[in-house]
Amino acid sequence: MAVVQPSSPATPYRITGSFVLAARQFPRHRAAMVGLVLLVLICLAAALAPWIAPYDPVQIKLSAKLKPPSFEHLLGTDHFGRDVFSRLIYGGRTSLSVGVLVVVFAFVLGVPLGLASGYFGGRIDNLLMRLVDAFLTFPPLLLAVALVGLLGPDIQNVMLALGLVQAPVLARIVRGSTLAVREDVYVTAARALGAGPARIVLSHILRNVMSPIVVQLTIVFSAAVVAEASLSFLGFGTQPPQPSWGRDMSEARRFLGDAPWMFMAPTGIIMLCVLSINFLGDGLRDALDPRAWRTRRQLSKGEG
Amino acid sequence: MRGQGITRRAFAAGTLGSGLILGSGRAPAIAQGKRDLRVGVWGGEFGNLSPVIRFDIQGGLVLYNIFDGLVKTDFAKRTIEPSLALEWTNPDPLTWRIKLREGVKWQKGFGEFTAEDVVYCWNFHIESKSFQVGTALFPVDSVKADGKYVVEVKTKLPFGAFPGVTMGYGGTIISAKAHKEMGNQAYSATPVGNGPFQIESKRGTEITLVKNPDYWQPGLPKLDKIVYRAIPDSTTRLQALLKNELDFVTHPDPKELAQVRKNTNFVVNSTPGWEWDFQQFNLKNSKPDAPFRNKLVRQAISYAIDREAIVKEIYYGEALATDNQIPAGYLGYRGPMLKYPKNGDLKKAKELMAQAGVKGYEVEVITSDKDWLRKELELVAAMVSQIGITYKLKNMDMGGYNNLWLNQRYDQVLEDITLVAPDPDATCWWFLHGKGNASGYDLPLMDGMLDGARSELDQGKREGLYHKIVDHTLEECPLIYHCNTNNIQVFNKNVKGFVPTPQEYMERLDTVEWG
Amino acid sequence: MWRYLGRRLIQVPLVLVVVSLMTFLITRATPGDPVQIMLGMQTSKEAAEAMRKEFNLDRSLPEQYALWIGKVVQGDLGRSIRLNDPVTSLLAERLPVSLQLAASAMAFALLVSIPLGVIAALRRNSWIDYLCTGYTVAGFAIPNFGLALILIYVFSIQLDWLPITGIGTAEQVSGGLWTYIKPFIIPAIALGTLQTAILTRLLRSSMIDVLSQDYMRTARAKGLLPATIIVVHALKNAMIPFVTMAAIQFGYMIGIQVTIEYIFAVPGMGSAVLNAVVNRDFPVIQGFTLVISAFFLFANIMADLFYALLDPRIRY
Repeated sequence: MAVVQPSSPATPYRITGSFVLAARQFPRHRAAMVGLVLLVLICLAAALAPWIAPYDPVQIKLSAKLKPPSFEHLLGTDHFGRDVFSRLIYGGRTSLSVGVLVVVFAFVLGVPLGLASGYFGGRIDNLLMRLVDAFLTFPPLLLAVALVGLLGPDIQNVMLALGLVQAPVLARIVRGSTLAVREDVYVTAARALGAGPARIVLSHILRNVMSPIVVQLTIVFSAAVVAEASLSFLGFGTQPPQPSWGRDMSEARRFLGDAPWMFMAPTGIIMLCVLSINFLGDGLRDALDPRAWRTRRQLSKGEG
Repeated sequence: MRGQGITRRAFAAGTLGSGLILGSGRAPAIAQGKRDLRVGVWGGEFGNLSPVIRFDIQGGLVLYNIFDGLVKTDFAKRTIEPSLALEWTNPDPLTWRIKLREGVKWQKGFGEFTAEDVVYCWNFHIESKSFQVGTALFPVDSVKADGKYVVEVKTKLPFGAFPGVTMGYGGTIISAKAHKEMGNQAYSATPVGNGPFQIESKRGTEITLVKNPDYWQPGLPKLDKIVYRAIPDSTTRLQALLKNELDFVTHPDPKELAQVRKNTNFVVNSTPGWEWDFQQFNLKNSKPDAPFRNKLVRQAISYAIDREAIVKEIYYGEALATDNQIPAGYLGYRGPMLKYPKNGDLKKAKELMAQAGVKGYEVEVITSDKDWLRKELELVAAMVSQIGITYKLKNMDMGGYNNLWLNQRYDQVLEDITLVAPDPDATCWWFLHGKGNASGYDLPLMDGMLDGARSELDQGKREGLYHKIVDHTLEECPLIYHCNTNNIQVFNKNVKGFVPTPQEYMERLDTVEWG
Repeated sequence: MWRYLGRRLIQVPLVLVVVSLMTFLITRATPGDPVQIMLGMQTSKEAAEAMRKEFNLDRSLPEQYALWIGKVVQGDLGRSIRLNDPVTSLLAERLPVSLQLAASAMAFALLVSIPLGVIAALRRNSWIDYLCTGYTVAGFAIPNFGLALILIYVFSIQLDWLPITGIGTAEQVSGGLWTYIKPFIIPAIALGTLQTAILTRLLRSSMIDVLSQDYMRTARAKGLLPATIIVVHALKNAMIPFVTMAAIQFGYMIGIQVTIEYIFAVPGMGSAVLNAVVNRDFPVIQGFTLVISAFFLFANIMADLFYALLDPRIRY
């Protein structure tokens, strides 16, 4: 059994060092590896959908409706005779791209906000954090419903809404971590050497707050997948005939008795997706920050 | 009780086979001596209940049990029958004299129903420019009382559909005294009516009505109390009925009806309705080069629609395929399918597309938040894709949808409407006249035909005029009709005396009782 | 601590102003006209204008906001355009229902997570610990509406044990205790499962933390105290983050009920906002978001307070 290396006190903030350590740590986290593999599989399936999916996910074939799972249709067919398995794979494109874009959006909006707030402090901090507070107090799903309802049911609006909901959470976390490292020796040293705030923030602080960011982003991702499903369930999300896991669930609900596979398949894949992301996040947290096992994981909003 | 055992087992076997979502349903509650009814209706909170402000479906379902109309529609015979108005005459083309019933009392001690109330109510509509000014009261020039029980109306133009449209749809009268004393707002929340039931309490999604002790019709209503609950989800609503959490529901998911019909504890009542599903094209202000501006393309779409498939897959048979806007039994009716085959004709559709020289195109089609319309649009999109047309679907919520639809900022919509009065004017004018708020069509020829049919007093001549309007609609296809959907109620088998209605919200419960 | 609390409380109105301003701008900046929706296709221009005037919608945006906030300060949240009722009386109908649903979901979460978390921490790597892990993992992953539909199918339809609807009806309120509790059971489980997962996981890990502290290990090793006292003592310490989290989650619950309210026909806050959005009922959207936000803010302050009260080491 190899001795687990704690991050060496001499080089606590060298990003390369900690990432190498993290890379060594990560595979030891069995659940995280399972999560990673599953997630990669789901993403690959979605990316390669046109080649993998046995059928056209939107082509209606009434003669083949409500067929139970068979070799011909691995997960059966729905009420319009569409292949559930193919819809699942294509639906992954919707859900995962929502997840990815919300992550990007939350990152682009939340991280600079958090960095600025944490680094400059004072009035800027106070102002930005009140703004963040205000966004945080909005019930996320309701804000998303309001935005999508008001802006129109386009998938871009869904992403915008979910990103807006998630960005403040991230900003909060980044601010906290920035506050913690801003007075550290190397930052003061850099400042004494005449480095400007932009340089300090980008080259010294950002890399040192990366680990909570990465962990939070996994949470943002899974929250976005579930929130997209909830919105689509309520009829505010993805537009038909475009397959979406949440919308397919709401459609399948009428057939829960006659065709349970229609309901089980999207429910199962959402669970699998969220699970694997959670496992991945756990592993990343443990690997990136050896101290993190004590701090309670920031629990995200966004479940609904 | 051997017989019972067998039926129950047979029923259980039936449910196992299809594994239905509804379960078997409990044995109905003991009916003996029950005098209250729990009704589940479609929709969100109950809003306005006053007939002088626009009301929604769930509001209408309640409102028509609080108020009696001047006239009532005999849905079976398709005729207008006296109610609060005993008789009406048309001494000259521009005058209508309405004789009112005597001795009708307003609820909660607000005095007698008289001609003054009718005058007050119609003048209120006209002064407040209410929604009725557009639909039922548009021909009214002046209203005055001639004594306590006679109303004299002068119209701006001869209006043949006066009894059905003006006295029918516009004939739900408010109490002048109560309205003045309470104010418009308070009155609309808890109106004082002259009908069989009065409001006891109202809280959000629940309204309790109780018997009006002063009701003018002897022996009615038969129930003491009705509790209405608005339940937005159709599956939940029906499940709640089958679990005995409710006694009567409207707008069930038609998918479940085949199963519910097997359950002898419940009654399914499905009446061919005054509701249409239709596609509408914006011919007023869509882009001049929009392919659907070509009438051949619109005809091709109409040929590409398999209306029977819509009836079967979306409404599970609880609808009637039709290609025109006049339903059975009404003035101008000739048949459900006049021009287009009910299973569609793809060959013809493709020919028309070729003839139009249109290869295929993409168009955004919007619809509102009614889930059946969303499903229908999905199916219709698949049908037209066979002739090369791609429908990009956009399901809007009510707010966004109305904003686009009523301001004519759309290319194409899928919508449904309910006929408000038994006259073809109600389904034609507002959708086809250049000045109609729901119209995406603007053609002087059509406007002339519609105005002419409206002001003609001779019903025989009107019939011919509506035939022409229908023929023109079928040829030009500014709207493509899909089907008439049924108006469906499901209730406990011990609930007796319900009179079926084709009109979505005129469900009267005054004759209903437990038996 | 009191100073800290004072400062937090002073910030509340500030945050609420930002919230209300954002809500206001979102509603006004987007397409959809409440008056048109209300009056429908048959309306006349004059009637629409009269109605706009009645609700101040004909004024400039700053004026509209100023008028609204001026009334809010006096406790008047305006009147619903669609329902014609004061927003405050709508709130009086809806808020209690939402609170009851949130409370029942939280009660479920506490009932399950406390014993499960404690036992899992005491018997690490036992079957019950794995069961606990499995439950929390699944609880995190399943969307609450999916769980709700499965529970309805099994317990209401197939087994016929529990009702589907009934929350907030006169029948429920006027009935006995069981009539009152019955309709809450399935929605509470569906809504509270996520919170159960969060809280169980948290309690388990903080129990393990406390139990592995030096003084606890010594006390246990020396047999100084009976096992039960140790558990009670450990639990007391582990409860600090737990209670905090429970308070925060309770604050969230009102905002995440929408799907559950829809499925179970619950007349709560979420469905009211949903309907208001659909109908562009601006006063209701504004009033309700304000209250939901305020509720959430106070839940957070309460969480901080608990934290300070339970753990004497914490000083603000």
